[in-house]
Amino acid sequence: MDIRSQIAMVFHLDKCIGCHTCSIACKNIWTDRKGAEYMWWNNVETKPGTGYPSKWEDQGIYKGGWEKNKDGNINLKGAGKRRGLTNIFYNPNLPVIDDYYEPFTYKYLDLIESPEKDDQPTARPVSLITGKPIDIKMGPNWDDDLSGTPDYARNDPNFKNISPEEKEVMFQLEKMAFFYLPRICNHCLNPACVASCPSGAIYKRGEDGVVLINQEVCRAWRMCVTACPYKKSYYNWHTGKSEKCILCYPRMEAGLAPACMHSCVGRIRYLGVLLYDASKIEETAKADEKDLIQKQLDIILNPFDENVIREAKKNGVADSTIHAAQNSPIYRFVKEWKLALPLHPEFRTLPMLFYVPPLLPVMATVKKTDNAEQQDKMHPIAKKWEDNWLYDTSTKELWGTLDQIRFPLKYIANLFSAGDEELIKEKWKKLMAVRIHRRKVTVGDISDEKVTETLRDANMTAEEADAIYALTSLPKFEERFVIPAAHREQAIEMMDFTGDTKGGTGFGIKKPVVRGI
Amino acid sequence: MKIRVTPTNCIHSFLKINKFFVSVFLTVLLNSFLFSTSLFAQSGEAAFKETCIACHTIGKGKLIGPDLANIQERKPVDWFIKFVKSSQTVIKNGDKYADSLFKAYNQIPMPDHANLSDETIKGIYAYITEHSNSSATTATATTTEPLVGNSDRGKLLFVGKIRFTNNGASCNSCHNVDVKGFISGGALAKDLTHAVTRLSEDGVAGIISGLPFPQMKETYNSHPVTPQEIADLTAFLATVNEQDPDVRTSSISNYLLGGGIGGIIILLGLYSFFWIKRKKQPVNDSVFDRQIQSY
Repeated sequence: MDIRSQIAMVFHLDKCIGCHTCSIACKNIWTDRKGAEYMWWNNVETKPGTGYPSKWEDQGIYKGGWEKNKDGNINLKGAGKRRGLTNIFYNPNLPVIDDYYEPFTYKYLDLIESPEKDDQPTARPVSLITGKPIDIKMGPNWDDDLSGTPDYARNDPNFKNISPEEKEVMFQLEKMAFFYLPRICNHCLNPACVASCPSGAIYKRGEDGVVLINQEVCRAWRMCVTACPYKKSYYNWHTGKSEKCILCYPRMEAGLAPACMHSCVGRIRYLGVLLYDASKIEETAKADEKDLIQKQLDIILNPFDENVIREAKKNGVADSTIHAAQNSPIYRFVKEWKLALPLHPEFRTLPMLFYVPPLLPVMATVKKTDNAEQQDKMHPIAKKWEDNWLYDTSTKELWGTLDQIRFPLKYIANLFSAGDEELIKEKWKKLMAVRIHRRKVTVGDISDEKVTETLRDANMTAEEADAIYALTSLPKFEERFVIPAAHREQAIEMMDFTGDTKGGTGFGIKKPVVRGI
Repeated sequence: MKIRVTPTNCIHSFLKINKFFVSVFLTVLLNSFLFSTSLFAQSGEAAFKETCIACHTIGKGKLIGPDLANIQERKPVDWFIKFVKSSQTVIKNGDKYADSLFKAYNQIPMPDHANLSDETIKGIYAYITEHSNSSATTATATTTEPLVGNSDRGKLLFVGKIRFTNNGASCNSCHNVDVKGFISGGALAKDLTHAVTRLSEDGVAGIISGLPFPQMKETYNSHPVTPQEIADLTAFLATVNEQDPDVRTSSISNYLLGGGIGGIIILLGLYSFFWIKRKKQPVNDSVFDRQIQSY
């Protein structure tokens, strides 16, 4: 056993309102610079949709992630030693700026400084790269809320194994549904970007597993841009270095939540520590596709287990980190309640960002009803609707609705479970059971038998349902973000003898002053 | 013990060091002054051997320039001084005789010798006058027994495959010859393919030994070419000169351009074959194509 700690995340998609506040918080802090204008370390996508960069999930185009070969080992799909070396001066699968979007701003000053003329002044769009006026082709969330569906949502790479009829049904006006998918770097356990870097500039931090690019070592080969299947490593054309989400480590070391999580309006984001067995990473990444998720969950260890605690301490994991792991909301969502799943586990990077699959778009059904009775009750001058269908969100016929949902199960399964529909069904049952249980508690219009039946069906107890409800709907800031102390002092002591500087410095300068002539 | 560095003792030590440097500097200056004055005072003979002998003889026939024997019968010393200092100026001023000389000797301009004093040139004039009478005792380099040049060795010396004895730069650094099996040489100085026709073999040898041109003087003064090497190079240039003109046109340098273009086409073909599956356009290209373009 080689127990290490990893900062992991859960995004609760049922709570995401798609406001992009997280993206803006991140942009303002980290990527509002020359060369980084097009980067969105955090972005929010509408699903179905092609995302940012367009069709990033289609590894036939971008060749990201790992691939299992015939002898059972895994290789990088588009990078690695042989491919990386032969393509080192010409990386053939890179996304271009038009796959992201050409960043732009408007000449706002023209609106106020324009001299008086016959027509109103307009603010023309100008490229942030060339500074010249451009036609805006696209933006980072161009397909937001299903806009441009024929071009974007219908070309979503997750429609594989979905029949054309099923797909057609999804885009009928009455049945149309979507949800939001906020994405940041997954800080994977088996990061393809780290494996692909010819310069060895990318590394996974030992103390908390944050994946970082050393800006002084990066040589702009851009193999990480190809290798990352989530396209979360970006090349800065101004500095000539690649950059990626740093999980706001300077904030975390100070005990603050990352900016995207701190600012989250829907409070969908959870962050905490997991203890895992690093010696099993290779074995896990090599697993068969159907076992991938189970194996990934298996290497996450129980932080209450005496044996695990002893081994973790032996490996230098601090007591405060173990304590944080015991209080981790991630451990509860992922391991205890088994509610969250990694995004695209089939890329085999073992992502450490888990998603609670969204129930909302599948909850409601559309049925034919006779509205005549309701119409009669209305005031004579009220507008009467001729429609005779009902958008039904009632939870009475739960397990019936799961089979008649507006979203094909397969679509969600392609996103979160490498196509395993049963796994998604299991999560949805749990999420519904919590709702039914809480409805009984707060409204009381559901019978005890019904609730007991659903809880049994979802394989959970009433206490568990209450705990899920509490952490989903009522969590305090400290419950959402359980950030262990950074222990920078111990880390520094591993490298330097601090006694050397004790009494020597106080008012700091980083570089020695050059004196004399 | 550590010496404390303060502004005052700093200046002190600086001055001390300076005294030493000043004395060395003065000695060097004095020596160079003495040396240069001895140049002014050098005899006509020495000056002639240093400056003129590469291209001119006294009573031994013409080399690159005319035979200077009996110059006193042709032109006075004043004209001689002007011509030596800058022959082209004299020609440009409309001197018919100077112009005819220039045309008679393949229009090779005589290098200017503005650094020679009037006295020195007068000394040279006197030396020529004196030796014109006893033409048998001229002091030229060719009085020694003639060396037999090896053309093949000359070629290797020319392209630098054999190093010169005194480590001089190979000829092709600056000169080109159009000959088979030779990738073009430098373009800084004259093409030497027809040097022998223009200058005669003796003239070529004279130039290499006498170094009348400033750039060659700079290059070979401290790395003189030995007489045997001069003979080899002259023999090589003579062979080049007599070569069949048809052979010349098939030299390697003519293949370079064609080979380069062909190579690029082959490489591009290979690239497009090996990277046939590369991502060729943005994934939304068809969408962008439909959009209205205003720029």
